[in-house]
Amino acid sequence: MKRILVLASGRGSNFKALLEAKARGTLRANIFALGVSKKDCGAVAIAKSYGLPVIVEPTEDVLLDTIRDNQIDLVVLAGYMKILSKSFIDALRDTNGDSRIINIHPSLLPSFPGKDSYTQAFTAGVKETGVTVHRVEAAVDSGPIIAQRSFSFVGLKSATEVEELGLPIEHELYAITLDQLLNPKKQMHYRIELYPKSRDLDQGAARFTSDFLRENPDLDDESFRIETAKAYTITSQHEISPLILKEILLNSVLDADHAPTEWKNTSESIYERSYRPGMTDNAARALEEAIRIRLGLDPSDHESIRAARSDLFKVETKNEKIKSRIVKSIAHPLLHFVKNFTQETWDERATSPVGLKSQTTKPSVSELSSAEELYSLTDLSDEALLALSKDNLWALNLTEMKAVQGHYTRLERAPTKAEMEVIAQTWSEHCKHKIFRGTIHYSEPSQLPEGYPAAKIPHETKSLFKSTIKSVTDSNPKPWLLSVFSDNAGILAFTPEDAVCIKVETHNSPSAIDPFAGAITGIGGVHRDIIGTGFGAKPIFNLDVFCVAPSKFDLDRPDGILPPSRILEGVRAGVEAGGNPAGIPTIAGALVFDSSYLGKPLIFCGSGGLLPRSLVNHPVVQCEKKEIKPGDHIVMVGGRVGRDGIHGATFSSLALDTSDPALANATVVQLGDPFTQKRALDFILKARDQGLFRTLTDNGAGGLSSSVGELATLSNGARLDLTHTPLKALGLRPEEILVSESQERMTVAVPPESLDKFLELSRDMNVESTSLGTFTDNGVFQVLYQGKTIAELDLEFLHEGCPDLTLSAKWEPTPLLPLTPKKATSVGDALTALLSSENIASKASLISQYDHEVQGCSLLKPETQIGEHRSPNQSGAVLLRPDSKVSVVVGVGILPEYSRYDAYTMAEASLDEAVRNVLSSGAEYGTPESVLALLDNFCWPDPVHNEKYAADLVRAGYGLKTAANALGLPFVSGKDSMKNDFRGNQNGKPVKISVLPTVLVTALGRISDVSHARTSEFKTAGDSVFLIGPRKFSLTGSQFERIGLTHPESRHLPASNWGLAKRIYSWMGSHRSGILRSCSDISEGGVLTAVSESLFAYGLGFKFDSNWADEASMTDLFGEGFHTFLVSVSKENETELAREWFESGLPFTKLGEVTSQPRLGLGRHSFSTHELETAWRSRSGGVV
Amino acid sequence: MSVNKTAWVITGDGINCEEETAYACKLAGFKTTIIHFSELLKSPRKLDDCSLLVIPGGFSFGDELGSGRVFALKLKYQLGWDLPAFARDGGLVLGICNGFQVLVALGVFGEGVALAHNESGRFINQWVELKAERSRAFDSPYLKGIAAISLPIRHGEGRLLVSSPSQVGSSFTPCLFYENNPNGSLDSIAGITDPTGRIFGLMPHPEAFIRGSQHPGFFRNEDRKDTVGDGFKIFENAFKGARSL
Repeated sequence: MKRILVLASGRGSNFKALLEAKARGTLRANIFALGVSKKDCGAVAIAKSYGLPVIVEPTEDVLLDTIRDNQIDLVVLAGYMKILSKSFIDALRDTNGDSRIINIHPSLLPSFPGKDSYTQAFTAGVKETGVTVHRVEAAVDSGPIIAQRSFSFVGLKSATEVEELGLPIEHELYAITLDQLLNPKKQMHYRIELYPKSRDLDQGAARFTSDFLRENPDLDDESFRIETAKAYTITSQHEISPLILKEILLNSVLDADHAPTEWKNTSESIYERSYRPGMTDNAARALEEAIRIRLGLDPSDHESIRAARSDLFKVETKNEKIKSRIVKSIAHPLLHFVKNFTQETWDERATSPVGLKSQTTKPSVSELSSAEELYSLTDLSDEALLALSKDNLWALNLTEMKAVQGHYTRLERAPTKAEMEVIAQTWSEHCKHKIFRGTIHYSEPSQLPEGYPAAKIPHETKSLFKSTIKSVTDSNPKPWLLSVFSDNAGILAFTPEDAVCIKVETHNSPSAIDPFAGAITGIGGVHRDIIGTGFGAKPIFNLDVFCVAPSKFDLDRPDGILPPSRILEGVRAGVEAGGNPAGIPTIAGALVFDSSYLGKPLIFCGSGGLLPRSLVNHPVVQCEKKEIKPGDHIVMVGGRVGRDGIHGATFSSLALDTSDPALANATVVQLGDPFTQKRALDFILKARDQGLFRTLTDNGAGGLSSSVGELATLSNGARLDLTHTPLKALGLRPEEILVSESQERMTVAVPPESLDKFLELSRDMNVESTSLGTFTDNGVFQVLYQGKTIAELDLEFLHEGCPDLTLSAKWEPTPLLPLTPKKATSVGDALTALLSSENIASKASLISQYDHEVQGCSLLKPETQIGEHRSPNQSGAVLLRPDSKVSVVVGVGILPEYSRYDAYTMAEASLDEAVRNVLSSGAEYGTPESVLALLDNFCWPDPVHNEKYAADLVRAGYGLKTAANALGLPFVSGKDSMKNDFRGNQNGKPVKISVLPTVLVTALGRISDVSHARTSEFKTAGDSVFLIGPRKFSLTGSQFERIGLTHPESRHLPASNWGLAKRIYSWMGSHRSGILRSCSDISEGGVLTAVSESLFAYGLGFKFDSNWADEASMTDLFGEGFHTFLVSVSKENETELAREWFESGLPFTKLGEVTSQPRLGLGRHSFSTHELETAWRSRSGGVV
Repeated sequence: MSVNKTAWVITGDGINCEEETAYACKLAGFKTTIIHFSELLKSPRKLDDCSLLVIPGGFSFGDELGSGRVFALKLKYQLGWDLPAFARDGGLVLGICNGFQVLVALGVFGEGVALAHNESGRFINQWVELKAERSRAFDSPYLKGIAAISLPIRHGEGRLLVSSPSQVGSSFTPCLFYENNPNGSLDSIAGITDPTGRIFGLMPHPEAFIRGSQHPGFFRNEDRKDTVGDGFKIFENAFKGARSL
């Protein structure tokens, strides 16, 4: 062990800390002796109590002799007040010429050198200071810095308080730094580069080019040329032969391991992009594991080999401006570093690895506690409280800050930094849904303009959630409802053995900033919701709904936001990357284009899961039961904690403001690692089946702070110790560990008697699991770090102490003015325009990039693909298991366009659409045993200071309530996102863009047998086609109006008739409807669009009956409305069915007949099916 | 007398089609076990006890470092299984999609074969029409009695490329071809066997067409009564051709 000599002059607090660190084993060194400049200083007594020799008031010569005679490696100053001479320092240099004398200074040098640095910092008016460890040179406090650590002292009242905060940081930093200096690891560096063997194999360049062109629609691919390569750098304590690296990485058919010669000659056009430390780097993790496998190392040895992946870009263009745009878009500033080469650095790159340098050349200093920092709130003014909330990105309003202030005043202490973080996460709109639980005062005019349906809305609503959504479920109890609103997802009994759960989440804010990362973490997050439902469920399907702006805004958009096409491609790729590797089929979804989504896109990710209703050997037996016993271990399973995604929950509770630096600096971008999550899922399900844990939840918004804080309510307390949390990178403060939203983590409650087995299975399955304390029953959420309590929160205050909001709502409907056309639109032009419009056109290019078949249970897929033809389906369905008769069917309804007029109609229509979609596909409905349930997702512009949006919110809530109650359908889960506004600048002027008030309704139903499932396309020539339903259509708010077509017909919102709907749906949901050969609902684009889409899959034609065709108005052909279906039946069943519909009181109309000639005939009009299909597929990007 | 033929379906590390693949094997008559890789490490097994080894589809190691490559390292260095020797002794090996990629990375079809990214750069989920040409792989049991079948493909890296054309027919034999080459594969190749014909790798998913109702065209049948899907034939053939233990 190396030897150190400590020199001190004062009370010796740092000296004592070093002795303690040595005793703990964190400082691996032999502390040889203490030298003091004053014989009676405090340090002497400490040395004596440890039995260490003391050298009293030595001269420099005496010191030098001692150092040489005893082979001292480092001289460590711990408050040594004598200035050392240059000759002394020079006598103690190592072979590199570095000073072997080390000092610690209580400031962030070069700021505040000299004496009383804490006081200097406190009086200088800065908000943070820190400590520095440096090598000693002759000029005081000026030697090379080895390590620094900062802390903020906002809220402290004296220099003494600052010093109290700083001392423990000094102690820890010093010990860690000295340990790393004295015990450097033997490390070898390797670098391997892979170049595509030919240009057509350069997928990196192809992907970058298409993304870049989407982001820069004003350029084309003639103006530049990109080539890419991959590089891996490895730092290893083991020797790795280059042959082994090639065996692992090099594909001899596809890759070359040396740069083409032209790369060498143009090194200044080469850029290398590497990840910032602590960011998820999946390829690097895979390489580390591959090397461990190849070298036969311990699989859990995560330390001895560190790899980093980087990408090389060779950028060729004659235009310097284009070049700088390209270079800028190579890297995401929050995620990456970019390095540009010169001839010299290119030649040297193998010896100076890029990605790892920052991690290895200096001791990274870290893990320090600033969590004992206190915020003294007692005397703060309202302004100061608000400023504190804003500076720290807590997103707490004044009432909430005052509640916290009051709570801590009563406790007669100041909150710690960690406590404030936990409160901010728990009380965030994202987690607490304050708006939905607040009181709303509502008013509307006594007389509505013509064309608006009447609706009864109370003047005061206390908790919109309880008054609408929850009240529906309370008044519609069902024998198959196992768990609603309390768990991660609603749980429904599907068969005597099986339960199904479902959840839909949004990930809007992250997707606005980085669409790929936002969406991949969105889908990954909802999978964890499912995994963490009940005693653990297996995800069996995905659904995704994207609301983005039309591509025409690619060139016309505010500063700082991405072009809509780029956002769409990014979220698509993110859902692909998160869904496909997870092995979960994507079976349903929707895509909505509207200009209101230009500022913030809405990204809904949903998933359904399967779980056995009971497991006899599981501690809780029943799937829906959530239970924790005091003494159960808090075990974190899966990924490690990194700096990614800190403050996600509070961030999403703020509007997106590109001009606010506090928001711009937040490390909110998370990256996903589906592979780690898949391994964790496999493990969790195995551990569940062996009964090795009691319950679990996921780590999503708010990280451990929320997951443990919520689970703690089950046992009434938790003692969480963050000391041994596995980290992706050093340097995280404990309160950052607490709130980090790093992905792929579950929090599991493991009974003590199962802990060993649980951890062993976890190790065997290559999943990291770590016990981080225990659940308790003392009513307190306690958080510890390195032996100190950094938070001690009263659970009741944490979960119940958040003050209620009060909102004011006022509805002022606008008159529905007529839209008289200058020139009449022809039926053919309207139909072609609708079929090729963004909202209706085929989504094949998206759909075909999602796996919708994996697990082998898919019954209904998003589109029916027959050879090169496709027709869209209404909903998706999967069998519960390959050998099961029963399937779960899921459909969505989202019609935000109606919010331009009335959110009540919007909500009713969205619900009706979702229900009709699953009924079209064969879902059962109409008896108490029929399983059909609803989910609601509200995405709103901020209603807190906007009476209109608040009124829309109330109306939408009551719209859902009316519809769901009338149909007797319960809500089982829901989520809201309330801050979907964007503030920024465009063309030098400030702009605000708010999303249309949007409700996504998801319907989840059951198809009891494969023979009851049906698709929407027409099957055979000769079949008869009917409309079933009220046929009360309207063009107001329809896609016809949306794409700018005008008409002279009267304008009114479509009206619901829920009594009639119930009759129709009961027939559609009965076994009798199994006789239908196809079924779809009449929705966007109206009757003519629905008929057209039904022709494509089998290339059929259709002839409208002449009496219908002759009288049809634009509203009949293209109008949209409630409750109506398009069905086809075989000729021989036609008469019998018509009688049955008539006797059941179902309105129906015969439309015409399916023909083999591929033409759509409507009176004097005739359109070729092929041409209609071409129009419909005009946006599918050439996908078959 | 009951026939004792066993199928091992390997999973873990991101493989995700093990359930439906095992279901297909079971239905075909195999005594089927899904074996997680971690179990193989904990209690090693000998291939002597296996008639059909299946490496199913999925995303082992998230497709990082090239699809199938890290999983192949695990098979080679942690288990030390010699698949060509197993095949010579009468064992059958079936690699589907990611499993095929693993077999290619293991080198059982020779060194100069690769499954590159699809030509379009995209992941593709699509039902495709396939032709079987048994004349080229007449020893192979898998495609007996199959001329043309429909199966779904679901992959991002399925474009078969070789470093030299002379390998085709020597280190491996192509036997399954796309009608409408969706990924840019050499000669529209969708599936190949090793020289013994007993190791079969293919990109399309036969386990995803076991029941008729898995095909999008199923719903055209008036009674919608479930039938047997095209892909099942491959498992039945494997069962017939598998050695009895």
